Amino acid sequence: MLRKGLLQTVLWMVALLQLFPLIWLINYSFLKSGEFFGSGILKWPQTPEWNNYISAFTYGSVPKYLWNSAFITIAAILAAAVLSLMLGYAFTRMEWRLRGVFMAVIMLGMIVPIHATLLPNFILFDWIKLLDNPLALILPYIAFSLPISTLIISGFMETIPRSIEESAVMDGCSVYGVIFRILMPMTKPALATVCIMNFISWWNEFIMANTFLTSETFKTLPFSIMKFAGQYSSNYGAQFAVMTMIALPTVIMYLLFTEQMSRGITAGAVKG
Amino acid sequence: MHKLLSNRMTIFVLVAPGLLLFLFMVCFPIAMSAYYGMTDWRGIGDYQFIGLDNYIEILTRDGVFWRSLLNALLLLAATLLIQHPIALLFSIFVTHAGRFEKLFRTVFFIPAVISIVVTSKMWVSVFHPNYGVLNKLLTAVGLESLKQDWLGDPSLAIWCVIFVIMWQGFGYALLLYYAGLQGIPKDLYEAAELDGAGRMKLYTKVVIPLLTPMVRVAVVIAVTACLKQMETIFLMTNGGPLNTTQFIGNYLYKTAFSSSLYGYGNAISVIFVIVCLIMTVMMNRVFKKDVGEF
Amino acid sequence: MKKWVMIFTAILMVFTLAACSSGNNGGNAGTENESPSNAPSKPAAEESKAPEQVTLKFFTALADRSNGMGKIEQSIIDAYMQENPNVKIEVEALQDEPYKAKAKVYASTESLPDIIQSWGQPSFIKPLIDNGLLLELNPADFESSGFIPGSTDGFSQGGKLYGLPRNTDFLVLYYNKKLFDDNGIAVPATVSELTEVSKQFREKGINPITTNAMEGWSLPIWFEYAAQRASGDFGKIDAVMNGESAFSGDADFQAAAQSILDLAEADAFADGFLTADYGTSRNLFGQGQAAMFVMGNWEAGLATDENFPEEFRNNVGAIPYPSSDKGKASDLAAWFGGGYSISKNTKHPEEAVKFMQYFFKPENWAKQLWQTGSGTPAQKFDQFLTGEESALQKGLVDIFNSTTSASNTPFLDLGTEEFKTKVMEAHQKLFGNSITPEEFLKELDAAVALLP
Repeated sequence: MLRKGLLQTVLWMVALLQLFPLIWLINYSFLKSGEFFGSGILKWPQTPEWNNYISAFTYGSVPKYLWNSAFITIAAILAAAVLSLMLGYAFTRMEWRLRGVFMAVIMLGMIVPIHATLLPNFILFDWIKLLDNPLALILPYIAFSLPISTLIISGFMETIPRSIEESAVMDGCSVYGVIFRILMPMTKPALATVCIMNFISWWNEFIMANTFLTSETFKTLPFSIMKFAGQYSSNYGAQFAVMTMIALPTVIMYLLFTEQMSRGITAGAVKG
Repeated sequence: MHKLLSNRMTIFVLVAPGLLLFLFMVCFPIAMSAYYGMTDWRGIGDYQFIGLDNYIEILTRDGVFWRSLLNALLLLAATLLIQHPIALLFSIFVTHAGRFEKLFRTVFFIPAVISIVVTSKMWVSVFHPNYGVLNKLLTAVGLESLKQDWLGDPSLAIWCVIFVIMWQGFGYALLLYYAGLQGIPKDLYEAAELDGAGRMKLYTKVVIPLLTPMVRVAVVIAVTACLKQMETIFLMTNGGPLNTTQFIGNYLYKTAFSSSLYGYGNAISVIFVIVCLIMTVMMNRVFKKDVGEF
Repeated sequence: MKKWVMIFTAILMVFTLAACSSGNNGGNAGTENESPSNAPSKPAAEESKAPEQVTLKFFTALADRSNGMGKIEQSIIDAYMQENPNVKIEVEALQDEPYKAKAKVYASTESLPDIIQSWGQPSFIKPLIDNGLLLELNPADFESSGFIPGSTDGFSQGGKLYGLPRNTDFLVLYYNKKLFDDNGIAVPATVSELTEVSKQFREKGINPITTNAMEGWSLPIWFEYAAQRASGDFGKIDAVMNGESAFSGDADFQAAAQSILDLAEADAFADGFLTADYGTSRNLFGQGQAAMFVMGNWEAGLATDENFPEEFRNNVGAIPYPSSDKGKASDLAAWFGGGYSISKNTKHPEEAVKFMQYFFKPENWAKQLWQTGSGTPAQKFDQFLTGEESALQKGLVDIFNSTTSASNTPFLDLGTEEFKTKVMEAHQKLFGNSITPEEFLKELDAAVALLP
């Protein structure tokens, strides 16, 4: 019993360490800039400074960036899901000689550091006139999603008995029909996992967003904090408000889909 | 069925879009880098082809590059020797946490889903020597003498940064091990309990060996993640003070965009990719030895 | 597990394959690059139709749009759009360093925004001019703006004008009177007093001096002061830059580096000095956490920034960098700094010039800048003196008016970007007390040796 209590205490303490910065962030987003420099650690504001959030919305252009982020992320994760479903099928079901090689080529993407492509992609996008275009983010996002997504989806497909597809083909269904009408609903758990994992990584991505997007029009949400830190650098309260708003969507998304997330990591790793 | 599944046209339609996009966005740029890495291009204007000069310079004379690599190894060592054992231990704790099992699992993972933009800014504030929470906390518990200029001190900064990266990745490692534990059949525990084996023994003799595959996966993931580290650095210290927290990703960015050494930056990119490949091959070798077990 | 092993084995197999394809692609990259990227060169003829909608992209490093210069810049832009409804000016604002990085990105893709902030310093403007990215301006268009003689020199090359200066800049020592008074510490007048004062503040547990050492550009200018105070001559660094002498082995430079080290050893630099960026250091000073702030005269707005406590705003003052027996306080590290240039690729050169003319009308930029206490224009502004300037502003004008000699363009900006990075890094090491004066001077010489 004592051991149980000790265990619980340790767990709670680490949980607090993991959560504390988030709590602190939210707490400070309700303080006036001047209050940041006091000696307290957490402070209950006398009157919550909602102004910080108002400033964040007005000066930080949060609604616009939020929309951009949502659009770019969703476009990328949907395309990545469809493409990796197709690849997964070709790699697990289709019979062709080079499939091992091509699968390996794609898996290479898990090793290639995303940052090594920053400089060349920058020139590349300039050549094909894609700088400052949402596609400059969507395309690499999709490409870098493919390795892990394909891995998870093909892993999942291996567990689906082929007999279902075979009988569908007997009934005159084409390969595409099999993929999109029969397998797609069946791989839903894997697809959901892939989408959520990709959502979290691309929602938070900013190095490419910062490099490939030049005008305000398409900037994504993580950028707003950089802009905000520069443009209103002495307004700490509003900065914390912006940070809170960047952090919340992924946290909420995660809380809603905890199981799929965990399963995704399980699938990506255990299946291997 | 066989005929249908080996139809070349179908295969092409299924594979081409994904594969082409991948080659175009991932492989082709690396080839471009290899080319630009052999020039002295400064971002604008003409450039000259200088062969392998950049590569030689990086490998033989560039202290910052080697420092970046060393930092990646430091981070890797810390991840494998500190973060992973703790994560493994906590994944076991979590399975025994009773009704809070799910809660802990969820909470531990939360830092991993928060934007690095946010967590980095947050930790910079925590470490701030004057108004940061950490120094305030030390004062509050009477340990004023331990107050530090956390990120400003060239010998301390790298450890602070490593701590933050481990903090953020903790939930991920934990979840991997937790998933591995779930994969172990429940009756195994029961059987061990019937045998009267102590809990300690159960874990050291039965559970942890069964987790070995998962440990490997976790190590592979950790190696690539440590090498690729950039965002946290970019936002927390930008490699400073005095390049002591530099990582390759950030260094190549800084070289290209702050010092305008675009060709040189591309050469770093190429070496970066090669280093990642070599590490993967090495791990593959290490793990290959005991493939027989499975 | 099997699959993982299989995958990694497969990856191994692919190495050779990937290597081959790299070679091929490399060849392609070369040929494609030879065709110059098509510059958007539209004939200016379309613009004659009267109310055509024109959008000008305006890229500035005045990131803070709600205070100081950024606020004025924005208000002039807003006023112009009000008066000219057919013109829309899109502002992109970034802090200094991100700004310069981004400007490089634009330059390398020949996609500079219509109007950009530029610096009349070779490190920034020369590559742009050399590569024909900036529009040549006609000085006659701006005659009525009243630019101070010499202020456009940095923006000119080969007798042609490529930009307009916005400010007269000089580096001063801001100080918090209240912190000095409360602790019974006297404002330093000499270099040795500065070290002494710093020790006293440390004893009281207060950060003595802060600046934006993370970005690092203020440090070499600071060093110019140190060198001038040691030698009595700002010209010595120029001589090195011209290849006439070297940093190493010069007793004056040695003494200058030592004087900075003395400050470092006295713990004069604020906690987190090397990781403090502009915003952080400014806040540290503005929130009363540091006694002194080494920064340019453009920070006159410290006295009016409402994010800071009133107590601070009423107590902030400026003094010249402390003197020595060789260098006087009136020897000023001063230069004509930021300004604007127009992109050669702009689709609307006339509109851009028109806006610049409006911007630099004496009653716009010069007057507003001065009367809001946000800085010192590079234009004549004596007609706008109101007598109601803040104490800080008056202090800054007094410093400027008493100038006996000036440093001109900071030496770190006289070379390439690579030179600048190297110079700043050497200074960070010196100020961080992790290098000897000899090593420091050697590093500077090594940086100079990189120059073409």
